[in-house]
Amino acid sequence: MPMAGSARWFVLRLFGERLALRLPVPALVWLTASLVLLGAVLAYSLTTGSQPTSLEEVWRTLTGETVSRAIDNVIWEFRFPRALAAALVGAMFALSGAALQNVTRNGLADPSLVGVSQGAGLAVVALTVLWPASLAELRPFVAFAGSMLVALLIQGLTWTARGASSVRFILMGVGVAALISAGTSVLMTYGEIEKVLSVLTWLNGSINAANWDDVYMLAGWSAVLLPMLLLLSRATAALRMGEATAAALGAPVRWVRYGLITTAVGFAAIGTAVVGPLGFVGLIAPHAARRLAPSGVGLHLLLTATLGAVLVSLADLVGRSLLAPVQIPAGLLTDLIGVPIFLILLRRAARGNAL
Amino acid sequence: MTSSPPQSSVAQTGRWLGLPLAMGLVGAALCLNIAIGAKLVPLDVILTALTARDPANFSHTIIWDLRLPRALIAILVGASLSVAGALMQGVTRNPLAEPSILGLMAGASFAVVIGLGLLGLADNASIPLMAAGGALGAAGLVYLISRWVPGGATPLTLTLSGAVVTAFLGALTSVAFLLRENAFDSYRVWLSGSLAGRDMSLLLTAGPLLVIALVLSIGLARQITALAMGEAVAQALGVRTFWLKAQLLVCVVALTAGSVALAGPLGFVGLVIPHAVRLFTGADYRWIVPYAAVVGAGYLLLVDATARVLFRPAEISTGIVTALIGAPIFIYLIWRRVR
Amino acid sequence: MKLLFAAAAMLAGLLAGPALGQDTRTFAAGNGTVTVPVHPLRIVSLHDLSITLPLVEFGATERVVGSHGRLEEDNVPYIRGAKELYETSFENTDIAFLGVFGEIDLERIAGLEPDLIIGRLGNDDALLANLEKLAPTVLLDQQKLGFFGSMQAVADLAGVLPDYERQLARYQAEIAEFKRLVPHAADISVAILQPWPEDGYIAANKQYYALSQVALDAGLSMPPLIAGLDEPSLDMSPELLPEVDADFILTSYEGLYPGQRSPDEIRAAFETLVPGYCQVLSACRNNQMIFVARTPIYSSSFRSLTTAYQLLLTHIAGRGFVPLAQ
Repeated sequence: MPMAGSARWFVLRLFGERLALRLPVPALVWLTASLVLLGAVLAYSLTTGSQPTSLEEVWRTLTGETVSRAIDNVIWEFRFPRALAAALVGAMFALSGAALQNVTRNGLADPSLVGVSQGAGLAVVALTVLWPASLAELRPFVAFAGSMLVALLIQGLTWTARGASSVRFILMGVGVAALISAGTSVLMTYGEIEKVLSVLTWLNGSINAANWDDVYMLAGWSAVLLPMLLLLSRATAALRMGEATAAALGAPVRWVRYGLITTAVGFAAIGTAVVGPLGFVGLIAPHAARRLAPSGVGLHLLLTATLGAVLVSLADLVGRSLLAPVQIPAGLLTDLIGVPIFLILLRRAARGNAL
Repeated sequence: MTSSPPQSSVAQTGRWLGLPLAMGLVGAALCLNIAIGAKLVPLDVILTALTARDPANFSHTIIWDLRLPRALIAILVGASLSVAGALMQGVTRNPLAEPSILGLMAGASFAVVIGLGLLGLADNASIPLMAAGGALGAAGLVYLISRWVPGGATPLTLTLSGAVVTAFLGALTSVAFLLRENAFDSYRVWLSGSLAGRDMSLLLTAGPLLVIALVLSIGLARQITALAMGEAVAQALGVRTFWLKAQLLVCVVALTAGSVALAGPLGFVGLVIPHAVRLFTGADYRWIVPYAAVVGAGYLLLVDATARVLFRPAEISTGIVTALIGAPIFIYLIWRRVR
Repeated sequence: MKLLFAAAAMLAGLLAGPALGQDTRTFAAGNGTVTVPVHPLRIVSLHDLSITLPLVEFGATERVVGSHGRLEEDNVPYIRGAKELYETSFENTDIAFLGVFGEIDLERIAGLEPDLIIGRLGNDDALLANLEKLAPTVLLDQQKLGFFGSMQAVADLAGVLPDYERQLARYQAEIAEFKRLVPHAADISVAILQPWPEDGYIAANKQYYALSQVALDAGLSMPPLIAGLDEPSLDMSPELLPEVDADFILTSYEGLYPGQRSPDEIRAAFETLVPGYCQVLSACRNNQMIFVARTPIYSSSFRSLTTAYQLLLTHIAGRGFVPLAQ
């Protein structure tokens, strides 16, 4: 990654100069700072939990020494994958929100607010309740199909000759989300009580059951989706100025839209398939990133991902330690944190006449 | 929304004639609702039960003590929620306004759940009171949010505020459920909105509340038409808007609270019915309010009958059916409106 | 004694470790064939009523290091069933509280260094992959195993099968006694009903833990609507109440549940669902409706079976009753 720079700008050239980004210093500083914060939260997660562990024990375990079997298990099998899963899922929901916001030019779009997460939820609940014997490996694909259907539905409904209307998109999403929740309730009334109860835990957005397989899956999908999103990011920058402008600038508007929607849906669906719907992360993180340091799209996405990771990591950390051993699902905490922040954003959006 | 038709005498007569016709249809819905149930009661037995009740005959008990009260609740709640929706739409000039969308129902049911599950307040007098407190609190919250947001109470900000207040209270309810498995075990169905097994004595406290609020709403209907044209217009027409709004708020809160106490949160009823009614009555609230009451009653009677037979022998919650019907209409309204 | 045992267990854990030395065998569980220790000393139970309680009953309390539990109104966790029947709680034993349903604390389990984890198929599947890293994990298919099969599996796993068999023999003697005293049991019907007024239905139970098991073993019959069920219970519309009338109707109250704390509250619940219910039911008219304290008969344990046996015997053999008119 060759870097050239003057005093104020860094120029990052990727993929043989096909993608070059001028990086403003403040944004880079914030990115570094949030990465450090994420590191700190992860480190703190590794040292806290209902099983007491000293800093030294954690360090020795991480360097490969076995302090005791219990500590080995706690660190390597639970805290580490769980912290990573939380961070990855946070980043994924955040990126999903960012992509949705870009494509709809609507600052309030969030995968859980517009029903994309609920679509994945309904698909997975249907799979669990109607075909209990189905393979767990099918979950991500079924979730993706469910989310994609919802996204296409909303897209189709909000698309007119004038282009998509942001207002309609978000309200339509609220309606679709309500409809899907009702559908989920029907399935749950119908299903066996045990199946329903385990689905209920999952619907709250719980990271309790995360393990390395989940981490690999989340990381694998992210490795596919993130480059896709970054590649589309240059066109996204044009898209943010409006579709006509983007078309004038030569961006293949339609394909960028489709690509972005698919990526957004992919992030949200995979995240939902593993931990259940986490609300408001996709809303908060992109906004926070934009407020902290206005920057180019690529850097904004990286900062968004980091902030989303920090947010969910913190929510999970609080949820599992506040009333331990009773675990409060991270999804409930992101809801509780997300609502006040949403309102602040709503106020700002309204002030900027974005509505 | 159809625009107000010219005040021709033909339209007037049509609307006068429509009301008894609608009532007749409600009567038919009532008969259907009473005729359908888990146990097959032949029509002639139903007739005998209604005309000459024999206390020793369980079929008569089914009709009188199980189905009629449930139908009565459906009528009251359907009318109340529809009128509440109509009032809210008029006052906020927001076609999407409705007790469940604007968060009032979430507030009412959250308050009831906390009161019953955590504080143990189970008596019939306090349930509607708690619901009223919760609905009022949520209404205040949503109103404050919409005032706080610059640009004010646009349909979008109001609807979104309602949605997020609902999400917030839902998360709190989930945490409470997690911590108190036993206490909340029996409220799961109620929380999804159900007319099954309501305590008849609750009708004695919530019923009069609803009837008074309905009558008051019909009395205020003429002034709402003025208000719906805009505050300035209303004031020019001599309406004391602040006083009117306060009265309407009391009505909406009472209608929502009584309904939630009786049937839990039934979503979208207050959205669907006023819009359907407007197709016929136009924008005049003197007609919208009484029609909403009558049509809403019939609607919930039919929905309840559907919920009972759709997945026989299992019964699904009435609230799920109202959401399944209402959400697409909500989507349609947005689709058509912003087009 | 307890201290000594704990020390011995720790020593065993340190010296042997589950991987080293400890004798193992295979066990056919709901989640496949699992290699389990022959003499587990540190068992983790993922369900209080159906796993922890039988372990306590068979004298294996000191081998249980952790259990799922519930929170009481004052936020004190307790082990349902074990608390009511054996005064066994998290306070007076070394059993650690692991969390409530669906949200079990894995770290706490790891810290306990268990050598065997017992859970339920269909309930604990999501955590299985993580649990298996800590210790051999057995998920019991309790629907398939049935009442005794589930208890036997728990006893077998804990290595206390003789205790189970001794208790089973005593229970079989009780059933034989019941049949001697009530020779025409098949002519007598019982219905186990539970009103849920908030949700608007009456649960008609075919399976109700120990209570229904005794009724079944004693050869009592159930109303056709209940006997023909494929599932453990039916959320029945109150309109069908007369169809589940029986010689005896059993219904339970439970101090833990608001609105179900006493027989009077249960009567009120029936009255809410079906006004004048008592006139509708022959069993109620003839004072053959029996109100039972729930937890003592609502568990997987021999104590519950004996309680239910005595209860049914006292009412059915011990007094005259008016049979249900056909």
